[in-house]
Amino acid sequence: MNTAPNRHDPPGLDVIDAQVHLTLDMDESRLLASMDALGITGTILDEFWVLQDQASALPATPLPGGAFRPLSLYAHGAAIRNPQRFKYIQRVERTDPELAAVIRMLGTAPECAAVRILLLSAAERSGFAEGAYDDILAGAQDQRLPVCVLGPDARTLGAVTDRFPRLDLVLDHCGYGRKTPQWEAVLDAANLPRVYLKWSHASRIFGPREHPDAPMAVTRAEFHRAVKTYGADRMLWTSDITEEESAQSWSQLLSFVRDDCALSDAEKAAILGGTARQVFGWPQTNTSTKKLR
Amino acid sequence: MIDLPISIDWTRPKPIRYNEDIPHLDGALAGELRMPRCRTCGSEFWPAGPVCPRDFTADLDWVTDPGTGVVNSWVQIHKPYFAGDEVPYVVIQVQLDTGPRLTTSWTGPQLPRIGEPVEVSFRQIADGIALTEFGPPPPDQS
Repeated sequence: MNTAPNRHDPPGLDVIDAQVHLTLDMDESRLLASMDALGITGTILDEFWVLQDQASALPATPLPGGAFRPLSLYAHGAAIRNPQRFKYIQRVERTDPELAAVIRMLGTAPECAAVRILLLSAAERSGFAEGAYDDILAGAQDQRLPVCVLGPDARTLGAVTDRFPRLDLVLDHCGYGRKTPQWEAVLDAANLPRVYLKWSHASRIFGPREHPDAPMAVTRAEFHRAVKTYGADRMLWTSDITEEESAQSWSQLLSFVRDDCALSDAEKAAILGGTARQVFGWPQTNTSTKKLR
Repeated sequence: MIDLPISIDWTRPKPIRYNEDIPHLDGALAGELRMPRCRTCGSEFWPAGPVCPRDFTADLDWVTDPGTGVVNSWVQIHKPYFAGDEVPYVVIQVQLDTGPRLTTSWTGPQLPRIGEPVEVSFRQIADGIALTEFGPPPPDQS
């Protein structure tokens, strides 16, 4: 593994990984050691131990009626202990009977960077466009919390951005498309205001299964298209390393952007950290003071 | 059944009856602070759970705690997170004389002080639901 910052790095490159799962194995200490080795300044944590069924993951607390509330026990603690290294995103469930209170509490937690929604079925995807998640979106907009969303139909995102013009929406994992038409719709969504794109799990779309001849060349070309359409100031480098399905290491995923000769230093700085700092309200600081909002 | 103070206008969220908490919640309705105790090591603990946090045995029973202790920490909440919240309100962590630390509501007329002696009381908030609270002991006991 390449463990040293690249000698060609722009001076003072500030790298933020916009999503890594804190797991029972990849815990706070291991994360910090890995980040130090890779030259990663900060990480947005999504605590995820294990999937207990198709709908819910631990840690979570069960609620009446079959609902559940995802928790961030260790991630929140890690962010409190290391405010310059970690913030966390909190997955929320629309069936939570105390959803409004949960989002209000997240909005006043300086360590919480955003809320996250997982749309894991066609019904949930259409529900997202039609308003089923509007309580979450309205609460997040009121609390000035960005919403990271996995799996929306990019063709219908305009309805959401119209209803919530002050909300920052971050599309997880290259928009979670698996086929070319879905990816084209994700690129078209760059025309919508306040929509951001996490560059992660690109191999799911552009990997050997879809492009057996030259997956990396295709991935590089589509990355450049994304930078051109979204702009570097609306793209966030994300490893999601514990869920990476290709053989690429955390270091290689970072190198994909850091060592891209076609990008300017300013574009690298934005994609690798600047955009995340702006979207997640996490200014770079050399002090340990915590932001209150 | 003893007569508890009743808050008939309670609009805040009510406790969820998780299996591990039912003896504690039913104890509050009976005017008792019931706490889980490990039959192996003899220690009371909180929060309730399926095993003792000290030795991880599942041989547990429930005891009625005297409900006395001191304020270990406290915070005053100024923002209404839940529907029905009347702010400001005070949440305290009680260090029970028997060992466990319990996060609970404060009933005192003034803000608590760290180390201040406290005693348990109970408030019925709905049919079949009572909450545990803590505050200064009654004057005749202090």
